[in-house]
This record gives sequence, structure tokens and C-alpha cells, in this order.
Amino acid sequence: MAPIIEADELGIRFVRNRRRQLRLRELIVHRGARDPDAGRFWPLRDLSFRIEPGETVGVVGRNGTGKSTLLRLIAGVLIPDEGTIRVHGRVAPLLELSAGFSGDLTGRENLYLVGGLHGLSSAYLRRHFDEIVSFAGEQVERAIDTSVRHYSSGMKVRLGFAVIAHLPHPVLLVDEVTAVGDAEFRAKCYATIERLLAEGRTLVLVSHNDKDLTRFCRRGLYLDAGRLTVDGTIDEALAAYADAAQR
Amino acid sequence: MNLPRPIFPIGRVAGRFAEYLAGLPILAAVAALYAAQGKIHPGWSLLALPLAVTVQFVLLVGLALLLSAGNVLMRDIERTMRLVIRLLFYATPIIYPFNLVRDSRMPGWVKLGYELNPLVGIFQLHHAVWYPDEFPDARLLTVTVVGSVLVLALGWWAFRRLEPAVLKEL
Repeated sequence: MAPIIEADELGIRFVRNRRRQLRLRELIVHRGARDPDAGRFWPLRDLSFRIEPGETVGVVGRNGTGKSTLLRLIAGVLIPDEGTIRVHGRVAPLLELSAGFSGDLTGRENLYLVGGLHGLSSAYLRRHFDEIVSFAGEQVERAIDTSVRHYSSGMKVRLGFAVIAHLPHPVLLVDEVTAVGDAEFRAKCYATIERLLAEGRTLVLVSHNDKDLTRFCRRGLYLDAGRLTVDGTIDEALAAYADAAQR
Repeated sequence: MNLPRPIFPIGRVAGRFAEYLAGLPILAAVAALYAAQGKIHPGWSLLALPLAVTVQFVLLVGLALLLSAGNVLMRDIERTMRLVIRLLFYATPIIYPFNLVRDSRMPGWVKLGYELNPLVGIFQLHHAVWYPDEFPDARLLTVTVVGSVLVLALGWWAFRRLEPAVLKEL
């Protein structure tokens, strides 16, 4: 079977302190006297791996080793500076769950907006509307016609999760499942992810939680300082991570 | 989420177009009044309106693509643009007739530079809807259309070129 995600010599370069630093003023007044290249670094480099459809992959590593950057590259919201990343199929990103929400619109309108942005037809959304809303919980159900600005952050995240959990896309990207909602909602998230995996979806999970990783993933990638050091079973990756943590 | 990203600047232009459409009834009402009084005689010249809007759309999408990507990387472009827009306002025949510039005794290169601004031709087209005498001549029309298409091509190229850097900033 052809791989669903292919990374080849993948690398991306960031510039530290770059954010909002460069200005026209800078160009005209300082004439580039301040070195704009200072602080360049590669959060990820020389990554090559293949993920087959239906594989469940856990990504482990310390903070700042490029795990979330990798997910964003797979999701296509970052473009690599080196190498290529190819994803054959659409991606359901459980990354920034309230992304795309517009505070002035009601929950109902936002559901159609965000669903539409993820490529769902309005007919599909209408058919699954009740299902999605009831998944988001009773609190959201009651407030579905209130503008999202008045939602608690938990409610927003839950509505976002509910929409993305109903995407039919074959690739599922998850950043730290346990960060979402209260205990009850978390249980629901686990059940959903398990149901989606049973349908044969491909999962890439970033987490620091050993239990989550061993529960959902069979394969593990261990990232160290932007390089892929271990590509094996999840237990091997976790062992490498534990080793590094002890040192 | 992954969308074709040019949709954002193009969406802004389309939004402004909707505002323009909302203002059209006022223009139509005034035109009807003038036509009733025999001051203007709308006919085939009305076709200049869709032409003007099309050329303007091409130019604006190009500018929006160029500036949207640039503005993320250099946040003060937005403030600089306010000055540039004021300059463009006076460099375009909006509050004075175009013939005043053409017939003036300014040196030829000033006039040439003035006419290279695609907005000049676009506004002349907007005028020509009601006053057919104002219809731009072949040279001005060519400069306007070619200039607008060039801006669109440049904007598209710049947007594609800057996309990776822009995504890192957001």
C-alpha cells in the first residue's frame, strides 16, 4: 500500500526574535545595518519517514524539539524550507481547536463556518448538526444561538473538537489530547479517538503523557533537537526519551 | 486548517465590491434624475461600467495580494499606505477633470508618468459611463489594462514567494 504521509529530508528554518521586527522603517533608516539573519535556527531538519494508512504514530521529545512544528507541517499550515512533505488525503487537525471561530457569530453559524473551512458541505453539516452539537455537550447545546464571544474557553474548545471529530478525513493530527476540557469530556475524546482509529484512520499524536501514547500508538518517533533519532515502536521511542530525560 | 490562502485578500476585495453594489442604487437614482432633465443620455456607454469594475477588480486583487503578504512581514506598511492612498487620491482624476492634466503645460514626462497609473484609466472609464466623451483613448486604455494585469501577476508571484515566511509569522 502506498504511504499516506511521506517526509523526505524535511527541514524548516525559523528566525528567533523575528516577529514584527522587520519594518520599512528598519529598511530605510538602518539600511540593514542590523543583521536580520541573526538568530536563524532549524527547529526541524533532515527528517525522513513514511507513514502507511492506518498506522498510529506517537511523537515524543522534550519541549522545543519541533513536535508541534512537525504537526503543522503535516497539516500544511507551514511550508518547509528544505525537502518535501506529501500527504495523500485530507487532514483533520486537532491542533488549535478554536481556530477559525469568529466571536461575533453564534455557535450555530460558527459550526457551519468552521465546518465549511474544513471542506464539509453544508448538506453534510445539516445532516450531522444535532450529533455534533450534542457531542459538544449540554452547555454548548443550550448556548448554540448565542455569539461565541460569550462562550467559556472550554465551550469553544469543545465545539471545535466536536466539529473536527466529525470530519471524514483519513489523517488525524492530535496535539496533547488530555489538554481538552474536563474529565467527562476527556473520556468522550478518548472514546472518539478510539472509534476513529477503529475505522482505520491514520493518527499522529504529540504528547508527553506515556499512558496516552501507549494507549493509542504502536509506532513512535523520538525527536531530539529537531532530528529524528528513533523511529521504531512506541516503547522504543519512550525508552529513548526516558534515557535522555535521565541524563 | 488548510485553505487556498489567496482567498483571504480576494475575499476582502469581494467584500468591498459588495459595499460598492450597495451604493449603486444612489448612483442610479441620481443618474435617472439627470437623464430626466436631459443632462446626460445614457446608452451604450453604460457598458463602460462593467469594464471599469472588471479592470479595477484585477488591479485591486493584485494590490491586495502584494500588500497582504508584505504587511505581515513589515507591520508598518499599513501605516505607510495611508499616506500613499492620499497621494493616489490626488494623482487620479477624481476631484478634477482629466483634460486639465492633458492640456496643461507640464513637461511630457510628467504627463506620461501620470498616465502610467492604472487608476487614471479606471476612473476615466467610470466617468465615461455617464459622459461618453471621457472614454479613455486607445493608448490610455491599453496602459490601464496592461498595468492592472501586470500588478496582478506581480501580486500573485509575490504572494506565492512570501507565503512560507508569512506562515511562520502568523
